[in-house]
Amino acid sequence: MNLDEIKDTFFTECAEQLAEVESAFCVVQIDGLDIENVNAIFRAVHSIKGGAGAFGFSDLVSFSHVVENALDIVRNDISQGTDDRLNLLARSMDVLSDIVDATREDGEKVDDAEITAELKAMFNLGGEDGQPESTAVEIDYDPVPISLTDLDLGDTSSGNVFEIVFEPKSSLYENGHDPQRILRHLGELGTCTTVVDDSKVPALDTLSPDEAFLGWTIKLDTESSEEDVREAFDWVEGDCTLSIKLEQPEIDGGGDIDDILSGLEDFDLGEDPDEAAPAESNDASVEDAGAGGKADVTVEAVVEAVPDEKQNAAGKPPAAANKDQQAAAAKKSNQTIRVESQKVDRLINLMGELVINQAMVSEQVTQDGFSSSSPTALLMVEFQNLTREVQESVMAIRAQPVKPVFMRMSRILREVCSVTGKKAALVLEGENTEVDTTVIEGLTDPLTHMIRNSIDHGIESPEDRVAAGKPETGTIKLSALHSSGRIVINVEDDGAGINRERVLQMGIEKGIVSENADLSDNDIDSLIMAPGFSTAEAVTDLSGRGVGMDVVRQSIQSLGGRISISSKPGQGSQFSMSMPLTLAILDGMVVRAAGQVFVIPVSAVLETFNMKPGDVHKIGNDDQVLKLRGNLVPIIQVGHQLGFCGKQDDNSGGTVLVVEAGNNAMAALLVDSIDGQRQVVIKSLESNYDRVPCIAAATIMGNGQIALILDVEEIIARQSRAAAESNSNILKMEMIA
Amino acid sequence: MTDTDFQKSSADNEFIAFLVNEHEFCVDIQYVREIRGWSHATPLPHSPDYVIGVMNLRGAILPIIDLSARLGMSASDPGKNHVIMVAQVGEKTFGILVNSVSDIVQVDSEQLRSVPELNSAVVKDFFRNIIVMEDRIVSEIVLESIIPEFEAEAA
Repeated sequence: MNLDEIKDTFFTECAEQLAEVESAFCVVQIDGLDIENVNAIFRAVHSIKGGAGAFGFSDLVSFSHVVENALDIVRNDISQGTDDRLNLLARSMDVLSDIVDATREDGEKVDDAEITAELKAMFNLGGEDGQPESTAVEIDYDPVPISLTDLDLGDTSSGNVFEIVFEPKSSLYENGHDPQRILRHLGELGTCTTVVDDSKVPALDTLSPDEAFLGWTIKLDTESSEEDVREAFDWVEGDCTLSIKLEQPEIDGGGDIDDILSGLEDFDLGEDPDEAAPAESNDASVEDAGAGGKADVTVEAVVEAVPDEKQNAAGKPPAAANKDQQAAAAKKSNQTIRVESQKVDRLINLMGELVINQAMVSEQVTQDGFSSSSPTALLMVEFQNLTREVQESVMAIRAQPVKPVFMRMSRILREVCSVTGKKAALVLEGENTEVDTTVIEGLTDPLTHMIRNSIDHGIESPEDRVAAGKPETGTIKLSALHSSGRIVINVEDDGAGINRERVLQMGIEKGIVSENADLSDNDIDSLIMAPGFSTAEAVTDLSGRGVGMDVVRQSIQSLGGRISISSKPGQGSQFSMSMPLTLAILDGMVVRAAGQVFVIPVSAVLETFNMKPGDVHKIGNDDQVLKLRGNLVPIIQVGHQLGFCGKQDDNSGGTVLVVEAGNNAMAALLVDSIDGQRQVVIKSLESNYDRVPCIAAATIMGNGQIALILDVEEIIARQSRAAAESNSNILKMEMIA
Repeated sequence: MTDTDFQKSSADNEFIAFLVNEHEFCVDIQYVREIRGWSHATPLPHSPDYVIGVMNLRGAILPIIDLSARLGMSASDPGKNHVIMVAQVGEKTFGILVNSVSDIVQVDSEQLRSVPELNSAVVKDFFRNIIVMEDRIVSEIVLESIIPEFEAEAA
């Protein structure tokens, strides 16, 4: 492993830490401030700082140091966390994240002077900032990154280096203390190099579970006095052997690799102990560097030994240990690994093959005359259940809830509100709706802009709202649901709605529409998504950061989605995006028509119905309708619509599925029979072929054959005249565009 | 160096020959991924008549093209006597329905003849080279032209 790879690991970690920070802020916003979340945020920032220090990313170190100091004040006294301060902190996290990005991309330096000044002013940080390396950077704004050794010199010349030998006795554990907490505390005092001493751990068969065998040697580089360091061990003094020695400050810093390691260890100590990935990377780097001595028991050993040292040392069965780890994992809400989606896709494909293959073996077993109670058949059943379970787990990897993206929006909302002085609350609905990860990734940017837009242009100022008889705080509702085999995401605000007069006027000014164009309200609303349209005079500094609505439309379209707007003056606007669930799992109704098997998304089906002679009525020469509780629903013959067979005249006694499309259009799909309901994996037809009219996607059935998933919306649209109208609308839009 | 040169030159002129309605054709072997037996294909609505449907190839959706119909001959009635040649052109993988695969032929450059000026559009569009062997004449199919043209639609 080379330095670049270690850096990559660091940046991956940073992204995870920042995600953690975001979710902690979300919780704070909903449930109020509590010490645990502040600690989580603090830990994350601290970890980033630690790692950044090791690599000599001076911009990152200096800024995260300021943020950390600010957080420390809130951490020490929770009442210090006023709304203003939290808002500022939330904004600082944005800047921090920008700096991380800039550092990774070697991009332009992010200007953090302003927010640093704000932070210092609001948290009265000026005098407390004791770390020379950061003050130096802040004063000079030296764009040249400080090299590792320079950084270290700065560090060591000012601080003390303690060598702490800490060997817990068994009584320490009996009294409910946890060395991990102590080590973490030390980690907060300064830079730690921790080496675990496992030389006393006996062979497994002579090992007593009640005794303590592990000890640690910690090299702590800190500005704190010995007293402060000793304080960490206050509660365990009688329960351990402890020696704290002050070493001479090292002048030469001890070589780059060591520094990186110590930085990374620091990075790890702030973490929950069950993250193996970074620990591994440390291990590898140690091996590479060929560092001798106790290098083989570095962080990984600490990491695993710390949480339940007694149990693990006692040779607890792996399953039980695993359970503990799971509990630990549950504590940390957002434990993730990053995997290339291609790998997952491949896994899913192979899994599908396995399921089909399993079904074939199973069938063969039956054919070969094994009775259903024979051991072979019973094993086959077990095999089948296992395959199912594995398949479900594999599928679950690719589909992810939209929650993380939604959570991010609440932060955007805060940010925009604080800038505009407007008040708005975010209501989330259906945030656990699962979509394919690619869709999720593509959603972030358009949603961010739409939320900004909704507050900036939609929600009125608090005074205006009160004057209009609305509650002072506006509401923005963000919801996600599955509908007709697509995911529909709505952004709804209760603001002023679209000012059609202005939009039309702007459109004419910009030459997007001609002056005498006859446009419906809907057409006018859609104008805001036309390229080149921007209500420039109303644009605040916020929108300057984002993208235009036409870019939003484009990015939604690139996901294969559609976007529509509805707006009521004085009551608010609703943006509705509907996107396909490529590769997601779908609950499907399996039906037969014209001898073929089709899947209809269950979400689109309102009811299924066996028609009786009186239910079908002919209208005109060709068309038939179903009379359903007083409503007339057009009957669409699926086989005929798809061109597989001719139209049948007598359909009484047939089976129909009453379906509904997004625009409330209803239809009764006539099929030969309904085979049942099952979960299917959506497979793209586009990857090797092309879009097929009326077909949303394909799936592979248990017998290995392909079944087509119907696009209910398009089938209805093709049939009804309303479709023709909406088509011409779309055409009009395109002409305008 | 000599080795790779040799491989390259031989690969350049290696073709898989197959039969469609007793006519012999071939394609460049580099495009062919595998050859498998016929199994049920699911028909696609509103598709050209030479697209038989889609098959499951280890979890991927594989469109099947009836080469006979594509070349303007009669549409095949696919069954156990047919085989599918799985070919990849660019990003797209698709299957070609043929009667049987006869052999792999290695051809010297001098055996390759350009297509003579004929009146038939099929010949112009779909054939690249004519391979003249001692006892037979085999036409090389241009796979890129066989697959339906989506690009035009998309733009």
